[in-house]
Amino acid sequence: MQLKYLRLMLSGLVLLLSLGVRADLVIEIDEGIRGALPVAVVPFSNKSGQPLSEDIAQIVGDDLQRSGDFQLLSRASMLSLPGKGEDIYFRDWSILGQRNLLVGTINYDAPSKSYKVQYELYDVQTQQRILGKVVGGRQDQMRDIGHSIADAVYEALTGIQGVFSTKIAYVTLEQSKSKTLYTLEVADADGRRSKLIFKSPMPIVSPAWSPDGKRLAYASFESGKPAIYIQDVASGVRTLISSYIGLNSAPSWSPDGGKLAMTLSRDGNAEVYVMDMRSNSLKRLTDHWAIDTEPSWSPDGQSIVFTSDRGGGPQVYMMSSNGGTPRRLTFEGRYNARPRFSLDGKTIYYVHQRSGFNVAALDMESGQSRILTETEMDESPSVAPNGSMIIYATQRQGKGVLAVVGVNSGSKYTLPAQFGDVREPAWSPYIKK
Amino acid sequence: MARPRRNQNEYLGPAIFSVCLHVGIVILALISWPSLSKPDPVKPHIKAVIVDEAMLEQMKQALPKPAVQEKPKPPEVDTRKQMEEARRKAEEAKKAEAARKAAAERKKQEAIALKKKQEADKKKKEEDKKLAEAKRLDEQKKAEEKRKTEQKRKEEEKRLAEEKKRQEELKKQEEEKRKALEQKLIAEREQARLEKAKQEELALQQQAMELEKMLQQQQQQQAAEKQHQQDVTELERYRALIYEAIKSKWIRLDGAKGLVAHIQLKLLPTGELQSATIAKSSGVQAFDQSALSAAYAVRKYPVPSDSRLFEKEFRNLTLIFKPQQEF
Repeated sequence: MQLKYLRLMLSGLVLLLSLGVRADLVIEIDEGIRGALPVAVVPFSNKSGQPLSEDIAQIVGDDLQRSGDFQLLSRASMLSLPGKGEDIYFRDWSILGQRNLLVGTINYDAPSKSYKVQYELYDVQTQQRILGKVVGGRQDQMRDIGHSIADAVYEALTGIQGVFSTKIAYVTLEQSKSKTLYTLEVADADGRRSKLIFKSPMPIVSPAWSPDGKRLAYASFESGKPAIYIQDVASGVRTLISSYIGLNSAPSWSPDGGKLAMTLSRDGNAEVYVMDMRSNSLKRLTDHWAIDTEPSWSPDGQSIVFTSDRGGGPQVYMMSSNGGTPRRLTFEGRYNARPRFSLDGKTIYYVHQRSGFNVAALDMESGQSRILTETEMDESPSVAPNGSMIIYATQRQGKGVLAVVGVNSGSKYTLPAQFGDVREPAWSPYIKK
Repeated sequence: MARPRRNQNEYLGPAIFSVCLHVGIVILALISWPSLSKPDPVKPHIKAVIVDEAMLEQMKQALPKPAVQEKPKPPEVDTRKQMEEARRKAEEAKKAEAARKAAAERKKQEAIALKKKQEADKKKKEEDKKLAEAKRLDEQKKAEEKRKTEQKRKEEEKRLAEEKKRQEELKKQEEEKRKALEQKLIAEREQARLEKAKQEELALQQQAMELEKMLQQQQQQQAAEKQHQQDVTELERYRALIYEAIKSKWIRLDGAKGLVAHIQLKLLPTGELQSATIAKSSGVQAFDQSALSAAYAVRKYPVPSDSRLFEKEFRNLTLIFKPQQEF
């Protein structure tokens, strides 16, 4: 009897305590909306007194828009055009549904003949300044300034390093009645400011960036048969690396830059080899009567993925970069080729054939694959150095163009094609300055 | 290096001496040894012979009996008679001599026997005396022993008696103690009983009071529980509303799974945000900012109109941004 009352009293006490002294109410938010973050990039206020060759704010806005992670407010919708923080009426931007606001002012420094761009990024809701920096450069560096600001804004808002200042390499083909010309070009990540690196009437294939972003390895048929060259991008100096009998193709740099994987048929059949860059010594990795080609290194340098038709048709295989027995990774479909590792090494991107050819992603842990692109002839995927985007070659009205797909967002855009057919894109690593 | 060989003659003298010494020792030993080993002469045992009358008789009989006299042949006529007579006289003389001799001998024998008897008597007397002495000594010894045993027995008896007495004394004391203790216990028990009775009475009173109190508390508790249930219902309702409001404003970042940010909110009773701060950073500034921005993006928080519940639960809120899925 007494015990019962005691228990009652205790439970009452607990209840009272639970109602009284307690922590704040906690609400766990496990889900949000998926979509592009509304950002307004206000045209930068030009206080330089000089006409500008480039609209920096436009470059920034375009970069952010293309990433697929942001939704840019059109300039026409802007109620005011503040150039610095104190001129901002946050309420206006909030009413426009904006989350973030980038403002900037351009000044000219006559003695150094350089421009100084001061920019600030605000959170419209909290009215906090998230970013505030000054960058400078000459007139011809306006695009670089724009890309660097876009990189900073992208990182501040996503936590991921931006790739707007990186480069892409690709091959173009110009064909006329009288001649055929292959060119190897390097352009900004947005496809602008392309520069000719090498040209040849004979095919140029599979350009690959060195990990420091200063050199390109590629196969060229300039001598009538394929050979692998390495070319210094800045100086244009070329070095012949491999010209064995038969096939010399598909060079791929190891992450430390010390080795180059490639496909050679010098022993009678296309096999994957690894060349030590210091000693030039070759090590044969594969040994099969089938074709083994298109090697690519894992980010940790421990593994190599490649394409082999040893199973009857082209499929993706993986093996240790020291050799050993390859393991087949792809099983769906008759054609899976040109594999590339994701930045974290957990996913393989490759070309998969359904009705047409598409870029697909294979999660190696789950074995699940998904199709990332949806045009007809998508090929040659190359992963951006932040892992968030893939550049690939596709066809548009019978012509080769380059397109980019966001790995997570799925957003796509096509790079402007200036001349002829574009193919074989290779996204550069972060360029070390 | 050879040891120099001594002349054998050098040993001769000592050898002779040694031999002589040994021979001497042996001779001495032979001479002295028997005397040393000769046992002490054993004193002859005295064998007392008691001569009694029977013995004496025996001895008498053992004495030589007089020769059986041959019957004299009838003397031959005269001469023969004479001769007979002469022979008879000679015989008589001889007889007389023999009788005398026998008497003398008898006397002598008797004297010897007497003497022997006297000696035996004397000896017997001595023996008796000795025996008596021994007997006396023995008795004396026995008496002494008996006396001692008696004394011992008496002492033991005395000791036992004392021990018994002591034991009885002890027992008596213990008994007294026990009785005292018993008395004390009885007293205590009684006191305890009284105390207990008093306590029980008090306890009953207390119980009654507590019961009343409990009933009151129970009623209060039931009321509180009812209120609490209402509060919980309301709380859950508004919690869900706030969750939806935030969710619709939070633009998630790519690859944010695994990040956790705590945002501390202070709300006004109108539902307006007074302040929002990052209480615990995810470590990724962009993620923290997205959470904070979402908190600020909610124009008006859905809060209960009941000011009591608002103050209790909603004035201070913690939002935990913790994306569960990658996409």
